[in-house]
Amino acid sequence: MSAKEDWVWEDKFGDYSLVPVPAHERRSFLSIFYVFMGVLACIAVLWGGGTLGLQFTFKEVVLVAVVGSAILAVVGGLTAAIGGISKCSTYVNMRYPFGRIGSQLFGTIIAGIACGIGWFAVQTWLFGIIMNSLFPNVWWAKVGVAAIWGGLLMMTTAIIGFKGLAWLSYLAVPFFMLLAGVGVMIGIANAGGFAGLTGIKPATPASFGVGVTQVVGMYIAGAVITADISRYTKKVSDGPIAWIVQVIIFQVYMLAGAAALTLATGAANVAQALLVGGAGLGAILMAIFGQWTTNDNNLYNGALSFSTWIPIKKKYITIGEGLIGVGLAAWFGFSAGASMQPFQDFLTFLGKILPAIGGVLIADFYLYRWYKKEPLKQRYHLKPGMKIAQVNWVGWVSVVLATIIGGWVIKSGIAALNVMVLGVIFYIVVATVCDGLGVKIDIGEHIIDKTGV
Amino acid sequence: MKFTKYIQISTGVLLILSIILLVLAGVVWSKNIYAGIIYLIIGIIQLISTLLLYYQIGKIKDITDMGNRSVQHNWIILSIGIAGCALFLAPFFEIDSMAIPYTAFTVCLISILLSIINIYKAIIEAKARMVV
Repeated sequence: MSAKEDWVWEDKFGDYSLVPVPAHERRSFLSIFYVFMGVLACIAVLWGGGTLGLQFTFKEVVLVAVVGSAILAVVGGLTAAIGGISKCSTYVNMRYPFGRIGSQLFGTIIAGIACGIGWFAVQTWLFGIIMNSLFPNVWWAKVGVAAIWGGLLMMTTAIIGFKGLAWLSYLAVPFFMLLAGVGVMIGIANAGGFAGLTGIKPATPASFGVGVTQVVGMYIAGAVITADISRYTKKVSDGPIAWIVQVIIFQVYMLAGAAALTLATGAANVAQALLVGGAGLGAILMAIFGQWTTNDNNLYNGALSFSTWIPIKKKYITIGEGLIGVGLAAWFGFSAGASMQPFQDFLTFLGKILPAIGGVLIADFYLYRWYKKEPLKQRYHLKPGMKIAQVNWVGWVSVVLATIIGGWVIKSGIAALNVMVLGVIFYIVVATVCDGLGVKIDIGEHIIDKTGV
Repeated sequence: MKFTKYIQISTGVLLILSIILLVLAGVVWSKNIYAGIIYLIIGIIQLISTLLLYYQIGKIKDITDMGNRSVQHNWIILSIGIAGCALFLAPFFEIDSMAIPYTAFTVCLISILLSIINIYKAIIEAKARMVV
């Protein structure tokens, strides 16, 4: 599918949610890089860095961030290449190792409910909290009110689709990176120089493994669903390179910047620390755009997964799930003293499934299809009229086993990584053994039509 | 005015604005080193973006390609310009005389406006894409 005229699909639901991205719609390396950076450029990452600053010295923070980011670089690089080759979203790619029903079910759980509604609501509520901490005495910054206007703002770019995400990232990412640097400056100034900063002991020291787990856990969801963005690349290598550069260089930079600020000021609320430190309007813009560039991606990914089984235009799905998320955030915001912690715990629970799904996807694409001697460029090559399984039971079993054993039984190591590695092992072992024994791993059959359904 | 001519002139103006920021960085360096660093970073990013654009538009023949290239670089100038406007007047970067921060703020404001016009003209006149 290298030329426009080879594209035989009908994009019935918009934004190529169920069909491969055509050649004429593919974007430059810079565009893909910016969208990835838009996800990274968020207050949550800075808060993650702030948490590291409460547990480690500055040098340890850098080391922990580098190791955690290296793991994420490998995982995200592999999934980004899958998107670059198939040109399809994560949820369409999931049809191969899970079957059609499996991709709908798991996609809806991890991206539709968890990202599109759940995390969107949490981040919108968090936006309200941040605005309220910056402007405690004004009506428009009350948690519920700010959650409503902030949530609606975040919905706008997600409704537009990939172009909206890219547009916002172009605008917000460079200055967000600069503001993260301002955090380092304020940290250094407060600590009385760089030597002072490196000499500060953390308030509650933690082990190296705990730190790496936090870094990996913070962004593993993003690493698994990189195909949603990398499907837009012109060259297969653009997605993995863009992902690796942003995670290895810029994530480390942002985590270290936020940790420096926390070490020096003792405050984990980065936006507030920046405002108190004298960043002025920069702190406010950081709070607004930091949430926006990330949360529109949550909504976008959620809508992509819902569109695998809801037969309406993707933009209407985005509006629907966005309004539910805004409603939830506002409800929590208006309920004085309400905490979203139980809700966040539920989402964290759902998030444990995600690395297993990533592991199975990687195992199927790189290992099982290599074992089946399928050429790399032909893997996950969607065509109208092709047959796919309704259910691939090996994928389902692997996800369940990997999640339970890696998430709850094994107590050492990095939980998210344990789950993912177990997903890879279970899938490849069971699938190849079944292959050797002549046991079918596919149940049922579905024929893809020209709309990708 | 033809798009090619327009983009050459506006890029030239942006180039001058980035040089002004670098000069201001030199002036404030001794008064507040952090302000000096931020002026320097913003000035250098603006300078590199405009220099690269200036160099590239001289080599590109196709007007749409030129427009796309202009859009790409002007997004960076716009974003960094917003950062400049947000930071130059912030208390952390204060210096004893407010004339310099206000000058830098004005320079960034002009570069923001110019980059918005450049993006708009590239899309309308050169049929460039807003997201390249």
